Amino acid sequence: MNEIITAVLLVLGSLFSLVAALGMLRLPDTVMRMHAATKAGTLGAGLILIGEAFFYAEFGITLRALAAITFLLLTAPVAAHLIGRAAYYSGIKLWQKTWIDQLAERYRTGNYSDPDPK
Amino acid sequence: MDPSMSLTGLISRIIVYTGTWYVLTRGAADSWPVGIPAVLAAIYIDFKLLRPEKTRWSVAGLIAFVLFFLKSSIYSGIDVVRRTFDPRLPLDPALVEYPLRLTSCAARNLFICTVSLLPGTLSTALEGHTLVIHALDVGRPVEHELNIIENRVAAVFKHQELMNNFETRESKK
Repeated sequence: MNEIITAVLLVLGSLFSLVAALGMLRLPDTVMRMHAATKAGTLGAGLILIGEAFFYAEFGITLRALAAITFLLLTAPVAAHLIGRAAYYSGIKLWQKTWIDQLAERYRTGNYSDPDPK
Repeated sequence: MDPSMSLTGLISRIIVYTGTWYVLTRGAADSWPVGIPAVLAAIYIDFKLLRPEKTRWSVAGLIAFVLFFLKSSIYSGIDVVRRTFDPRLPLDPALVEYPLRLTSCAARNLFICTVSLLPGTLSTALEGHTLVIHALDVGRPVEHELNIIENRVAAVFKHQELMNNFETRESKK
């Protein structure tokens, strides 16, 4: 039973990783590629790590897998935010069908003051 | 002296970082020449980046958040699969400005990171109180989904006040 669960988790994890890679190729601009890398990539790696923990069913290994998942969850969105931010401020061209600041017109209230000026 | 830089703060950090190193290296004795400097560096950076603010955690809120996160995270992955494999590339992307309602830095950090891992949204830039979000499909109720995430994050941090609505923000300015 454990082996079946492990197999399912590993295959699912690999599939999500594959999708993350495919997304990098297929999606049309930087920011959208980051969507694929963060969401599918993290999920894929996470599932593989859970599969590993299931297979060995050992306290130390489970703990290490959990630590690795935690670090993934902490670092992936920060890295994606930094790359997205760099793309946004350096004015990299977005896909031509992208709506720019679609909600902005409804909510824009002027320049917000910086909450913590350096 | 800042209360968060107290002795208990230091001791708890030593325990957490040393414990993490121990777990990652399976307690290998010969790893400590690297481990001890790494732990010290982590503690130094932690204190350096520490914001003087009091945060209170709610255990129930945290558990609810983790469950919500796991569920949405799987949905998020499936959403990417669907959009990537569909030959028509069903995308209707937009850059959306979202005024944050969360007030504390810790809560905002959690929110900004969560947004990036949940379906169809990626936080792109933070400008003052406004988060610039890239949405894969504006056909979805993006704003409503962000509101839900924000409420969940607020439940993790006790006493976290949400700014009432966009109008109050405007009048405060």
